[in-house]
Amino acid sequence: MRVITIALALAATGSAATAGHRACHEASSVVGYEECSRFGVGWSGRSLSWELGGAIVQLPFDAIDRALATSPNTHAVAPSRTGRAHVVRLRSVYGLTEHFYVASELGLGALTVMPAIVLDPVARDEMSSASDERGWLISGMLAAGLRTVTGPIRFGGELAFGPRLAVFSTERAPDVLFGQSAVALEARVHASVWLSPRWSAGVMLGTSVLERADTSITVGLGLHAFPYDGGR
Amino acid sequence: MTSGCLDLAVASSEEADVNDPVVAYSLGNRCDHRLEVDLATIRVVGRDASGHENKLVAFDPRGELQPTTLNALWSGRAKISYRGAPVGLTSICVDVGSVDRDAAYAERWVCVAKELR
Repeated sequence: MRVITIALALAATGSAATAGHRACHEASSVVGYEECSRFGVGWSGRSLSWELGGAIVQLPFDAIDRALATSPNTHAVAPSRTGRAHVVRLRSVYGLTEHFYVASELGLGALTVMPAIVLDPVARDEMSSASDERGWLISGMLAAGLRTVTGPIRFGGELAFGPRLAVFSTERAPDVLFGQSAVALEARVHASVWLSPRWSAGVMLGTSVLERADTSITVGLGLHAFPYDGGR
Repeated sequence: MTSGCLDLAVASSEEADVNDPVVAYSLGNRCDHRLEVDLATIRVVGRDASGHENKLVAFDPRGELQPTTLNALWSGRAKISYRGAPVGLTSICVDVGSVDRDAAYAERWVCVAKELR
């Protein structure tokens, strides 16, 4: 592990000049004579990690009452309710300083609880059935937060925002796609534990700043480009 | 050599277009936490064949040599040239006791032979 670490470090420091300054030709590796790099570059600073996790997301659905485009005499009706989705979340986390970071996040998952759609009048007597409904939740978020370390545990908080789209359909109206989009603004707290210098496991809890019923819990693994993201 | 979390190697180096003696430093952090390291305060002397010593001064026209952080389980390298060397320099001695800022200073001299051109 140590050999790999040192090899990566040498590769990183050796390529810093060409990676960061493509047009710059390094004249010397001696302090004061360097033209592209500077003393201490690559010794510390930014960190990068990726987190893959499974999340359970609760989100509010607005009531539905609309005519179907494929059959204007038929209304789709559903009361508002709190839905749920099982989502896979992939995060890229960029540590800009020891404590401050920004992150980008993609989420894709299946809705497991969604509005119980009743078709009226064609299917007035027909009970809605969750088993004939399918739906997906897609989200993209940007986040910024602070974190700190206590022993093997790292914890912090962040604010995330971004668009979120829920789409679902019922087999009783297969040509119709129902959807709800919103901009999510979520406050989150998270904690993680180091499994090794480059792997961590963590949990994150989130709640919408705008809607109390909008919550999420994520459990995931993190892969870190730099051991302990620089230090713990 | 090792000092606490710090692994440090010192070597004499020859660089084209640099007439002053150059010392190459390789640092490694063996610990899980960051280290504060300081190559600016290293005391350096040059010796000639007769044993005379001259104090050498780092060439740092841009003021880059400042205490800096070395990430956990990470390494860094630097080459520093020194001015004020005596004619017929045969060796360079550096006091690396101040490199690890997390450790108490203790004088620690390391000498490296200078290749004669």
